[in-house]
Amino acid sequence: MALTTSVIIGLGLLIYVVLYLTYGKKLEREIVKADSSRETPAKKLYDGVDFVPAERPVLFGHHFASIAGAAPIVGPVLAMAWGWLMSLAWIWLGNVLIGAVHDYLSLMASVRYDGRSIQWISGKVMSRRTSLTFQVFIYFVLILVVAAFAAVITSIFVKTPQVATASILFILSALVVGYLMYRVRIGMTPATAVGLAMLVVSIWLGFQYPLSLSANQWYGILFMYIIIAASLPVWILLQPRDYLNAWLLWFGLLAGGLAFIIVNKEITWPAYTMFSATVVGGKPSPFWPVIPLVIACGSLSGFHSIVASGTTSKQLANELHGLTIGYGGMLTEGFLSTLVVTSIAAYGMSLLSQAASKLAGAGIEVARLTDPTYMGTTYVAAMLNSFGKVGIFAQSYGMGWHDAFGVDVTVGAVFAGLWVSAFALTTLDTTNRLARFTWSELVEELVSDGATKSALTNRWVASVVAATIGIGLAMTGNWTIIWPAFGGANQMLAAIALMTAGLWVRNILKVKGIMRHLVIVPALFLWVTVTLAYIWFIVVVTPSPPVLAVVTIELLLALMLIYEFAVAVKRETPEVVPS
Amino acid sequence: MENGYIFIGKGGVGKTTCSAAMALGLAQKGKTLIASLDPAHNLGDVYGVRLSGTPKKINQSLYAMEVDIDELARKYIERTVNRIKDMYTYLKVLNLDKYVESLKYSPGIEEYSILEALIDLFSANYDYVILDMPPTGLTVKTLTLPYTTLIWIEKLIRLRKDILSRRMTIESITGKKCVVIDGKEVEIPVSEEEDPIFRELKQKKEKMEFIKNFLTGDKCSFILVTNPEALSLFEGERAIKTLKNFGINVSKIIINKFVEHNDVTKKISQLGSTLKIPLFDREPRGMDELTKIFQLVEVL
Amino acid sequence: MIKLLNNILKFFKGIQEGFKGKSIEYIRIEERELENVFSLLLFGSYIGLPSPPAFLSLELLPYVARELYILGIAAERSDDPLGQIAEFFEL
Repeated sequence: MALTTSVIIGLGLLIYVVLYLTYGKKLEREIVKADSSRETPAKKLYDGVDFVPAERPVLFGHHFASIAGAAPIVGPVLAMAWGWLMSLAWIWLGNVLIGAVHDYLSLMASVRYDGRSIQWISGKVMSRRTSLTFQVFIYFVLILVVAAFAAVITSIFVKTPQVATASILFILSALVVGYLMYRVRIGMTPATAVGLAMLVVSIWLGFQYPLSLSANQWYGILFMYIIIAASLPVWILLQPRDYLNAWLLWFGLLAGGLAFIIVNKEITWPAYTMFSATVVGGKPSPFWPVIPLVIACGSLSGFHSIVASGTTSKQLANELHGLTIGYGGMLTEGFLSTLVVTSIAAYGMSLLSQAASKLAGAGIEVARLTDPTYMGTTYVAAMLNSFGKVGIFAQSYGMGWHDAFGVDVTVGAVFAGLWVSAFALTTLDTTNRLARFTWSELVEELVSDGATKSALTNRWVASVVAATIGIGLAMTGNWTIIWPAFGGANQMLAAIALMTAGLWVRNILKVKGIMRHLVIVPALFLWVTVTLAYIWFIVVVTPSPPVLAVVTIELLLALMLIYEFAVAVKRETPEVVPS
Repeated sequence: MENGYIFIGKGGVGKTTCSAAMALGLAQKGKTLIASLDPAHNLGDVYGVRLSGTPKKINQSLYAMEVDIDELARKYIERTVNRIKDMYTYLKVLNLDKYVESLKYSPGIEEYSILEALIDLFSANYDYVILDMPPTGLTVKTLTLPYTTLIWIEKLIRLRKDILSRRMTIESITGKKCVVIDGKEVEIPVSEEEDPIFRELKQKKEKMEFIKNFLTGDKCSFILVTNPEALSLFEGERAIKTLKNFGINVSKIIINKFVEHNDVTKKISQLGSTLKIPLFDREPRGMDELTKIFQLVEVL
Repeated sequence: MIKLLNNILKFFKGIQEGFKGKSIEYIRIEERELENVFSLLLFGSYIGLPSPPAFLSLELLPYVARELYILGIAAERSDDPLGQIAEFFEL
């Protein structure tokens, strides 16, 4: 049996389903001890606003759409440098043993603490300092994600101008849908029909009239877009965008999965290139500890703990739903990343061959790419010089559609490009709004002069500052450094969340024996991994001053964290007993 | 009602005497009501009659009453509390007894009770209504209450509209929501017609606009009573200025207990058109003595 | 067989509900925040905020039982700001 896309997808599904039913259920039974008779906060604290029990598939869809963004796609593209098997190893094993566990336990801990965020819980089971540390990492993630995504969007727009047009028309569609659905209120079905129709037209018009601008021009446009979008009432742009994105996600996932199963294409990408492929900042990057920084969402992501413990936990109707939503949701995102890897593994090689002349100009010999070591050292450069940061996925996705459904390659490629940029643009919007909030908090703490304070906490100032830092970093920084830096901050959040969950399991739930190791060991493993990655970052990658400052602070906080953790472990008796 | 006259001034300047005299005079022209809202009631003493919260006939066209503000405020709160009790039976959260205690001391209840009394009095079936107001501080707060209230009501109405608009949007997509709090079903109003809060706000707005327009309109005259002394002058000045900012013009100033012209009286005269009432050997009491004054006051 | 079909139907209905929820998620958040502002404006005097004339708050009191209930919960949760804004995190 040849190794084909269907095999990989099938294998991925199999691993996920089997481990969900065995490992996941074990966690549910013996660690969380989920009890359907125990009232969840959705019922106990029902207020019709935040605490509202939702049905399982509804909450699943909601949770999944919140955690699935552009990141589960971008990360794996970069990780292909190590080979497809290595990437999948992390996406499969890292997910079921660490990532999904992280999501599930964050959710359940929050449920047991009446819907309080994981940050609050960490303050109680670890220390108040930990809760503040959590906040610092959130700031860093907010700054870095803007830079990372802005660069991705610009890259897509430059390399595939059809996507640029389609994206602008997508915004237009969102405005129309927003108006029809929320102002005129014609009803969800008619408005959705209009929206989807406009989407299709947008893509088609994208083909007809590609918009080619320079990267810097796009950065300028993005900057203004962020400021304007984040200042509008949500019903005008953000809400309809978010809604249409959900359609893009499901369609892309289902159509993609179907395509790659039907097409049954043989894998031509090396399974394993080398341990230290050239990924971050042009330096040889050891697979471990760097992989969690490259593939975050899709396998393990600290941000999911915020989503799980911030909103999902308040709507869980029954404790037994938690596994499907928390654990299962993360696995589904893993499936998305699996798709990404699979598509590049099948079509990547031929795509790079097509770009042979361009790559030759950059000093890359396409013919040699079949040699794993050469691939390992040259992939990232080849990718950036040919299709851009996400392009190789979009193109291979397009080829999948072409081979499976007979449509032109550009159709799928433009769709995939639109898919990623649509999510990324929405993230830029929400992140700017959040950054305004956190900026004001910072100014409150640090600035005492009244006049300066009111000038700085002005809504527009906060918005511009956040956007400037993000776009500035995107324009001046090395994306192959910024992306893993974002991953690094994100994963330390995951480490804090896992450590908190571990302490919760150990000290509060009083789980004994091997079961609690299933949580504590991954937590510590994660902490060690990320801390080592930080050290490697500082010493080997030698990033630019802003990134260097961020990583250094992160490293110091990481050291403080393990100390807090040790103290909390020794403490044994809990500080706060959950209600 | 043809005209309303509102007497304001510091405590002890002779508001009651002047207003009582004017009431006597106006009673010859039409059915007149004089009401004292000053907590330190003197109206009954001036007329030599025992007065109460209902109008008492003094002569064939003159009626007098003393309004008990405290009682008004108490009744108002009692009414409000009873309404709350009806609607909150299912809410164990509020410990109503303790809450009522603090309600009584809410700032602004006194002023509002006076305002409500004002509206009632001016709507009553008389040709002329004269009011003897409480000391300047409370009076100014009361008279400017409609203005400040309207600003708040505008804000709240706008906010409420935003809330209702979003609720309507959500309902248009998810269908009517049914919320249960503490075992009881709670309706969530979605449109301006079915929202009791919006209705209340609109009602209050109309009420406040009515009273504001009345107070700043032609049918209502304000008379400031002062004495020829500095403190009286200062307070009078401030009152006139403040009221002016809210569109209320003091049309006449009475310098009561006038002896001779001096710096103070000159300054008072600069504030507006004045009328001087001389200092008598002893305080005027009874109808005859008041008649003497009203002849002077008749000029008004 | 029927049960399987029923389950699949329920699943799709659930997905549809999920879409509905997604389509108003942010508007819900905005509405909730506006309601909190409204409640604070009416009753903020209890925590030292400037508030409208007391009679306004008092006369609206009978209709805001639900708002007070929610305000109470929000006040209790004020030490967990992340829990309130978590819905905005979308990566």
